[in-house]
Amino acid sequence: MKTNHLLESEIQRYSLDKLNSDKQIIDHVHSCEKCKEKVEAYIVIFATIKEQPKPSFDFNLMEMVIQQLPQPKPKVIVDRTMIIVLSFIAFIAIGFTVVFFWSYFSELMAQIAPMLIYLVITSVVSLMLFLGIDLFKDYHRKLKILNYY
Amino acid sequence: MVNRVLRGETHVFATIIKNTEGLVAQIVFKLITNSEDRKDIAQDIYLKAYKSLSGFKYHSKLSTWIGKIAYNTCFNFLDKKQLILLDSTFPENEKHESALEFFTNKFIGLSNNNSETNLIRTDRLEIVQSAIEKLPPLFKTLIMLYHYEELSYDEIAEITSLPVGTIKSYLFRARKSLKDTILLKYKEEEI
Repeated sequence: MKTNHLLESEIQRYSLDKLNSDKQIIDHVHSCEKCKEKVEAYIVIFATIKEQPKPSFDFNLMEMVIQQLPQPKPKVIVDRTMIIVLSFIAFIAIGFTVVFFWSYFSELMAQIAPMLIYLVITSVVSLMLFLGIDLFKDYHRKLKILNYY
Repeated sequence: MVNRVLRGETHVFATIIKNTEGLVAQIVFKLITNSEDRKDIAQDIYLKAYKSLSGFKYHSKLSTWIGKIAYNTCFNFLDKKQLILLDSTFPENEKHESALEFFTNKFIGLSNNNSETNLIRTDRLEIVQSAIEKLPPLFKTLIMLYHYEELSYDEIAEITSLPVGTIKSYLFRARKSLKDTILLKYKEEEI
């Protein structure tokens, strides 16, 4: 058993959670009137906090907020099956086009100078890169706003 | 409920307000003293919550998420007005050993069955309420969130964006200060 008086933190811990306190602390509280009084004071204070009247607004908050809410825009609900079907159709269409016009494509590629092909590839990659960076920046900006709230 | 609001059922948001109004009121009342300011801030909190509802990721309870918006809105308001949430020089009260005995003798072991004890109960409620009001705004809020709303340290940390260790330390100081203020009051009464 502890012979010195309990620390304030030990008294608070005991008052909050008597069951999980150290045996030494429990024994001390049982034998020391001074520490027991401190514990009892805390217990009364904690119980009184719970008895406090609940604060409530003196106006109809719900009504005031609902009136100010923007009218919702109808959202397009995307059906998953529809996406799969459309993707499948698009894939078939692209595949069919490639197979059907393959001879024209190969002829066209043979006629275009390799320099021009490099130019097209560079332009497309640059464009994709810029779009990607812009998308990433926009995503971070939106995330920052959400984290702020 | 969140998904229904996002689908455009604004009336469902009324249920969210009803379910979380108590916690929001607790935070607003403890941080903001002026009733007109409270009115504007309370509306602002829910309008912000509505606008950013799509950003709610179910990482916490919806009430905790709205509590966080409430705390941040109040915090920004106080910041704009250059008011402080916690004065670092907040005094620690002196010891009141004799009042401790008087306080515990007066209140411990009372039942609420007769008018005399009801009077004492009212007295006790008023004294504790007035002592809570004397605490700095942040301490008041933490005390009410932990002891009245029975939120966990993690939930309070989520609302206030403070580390759990800091919350525990602030709560310790707030409880001690509360006890000392009450005992001071009883010491005066005893005299």
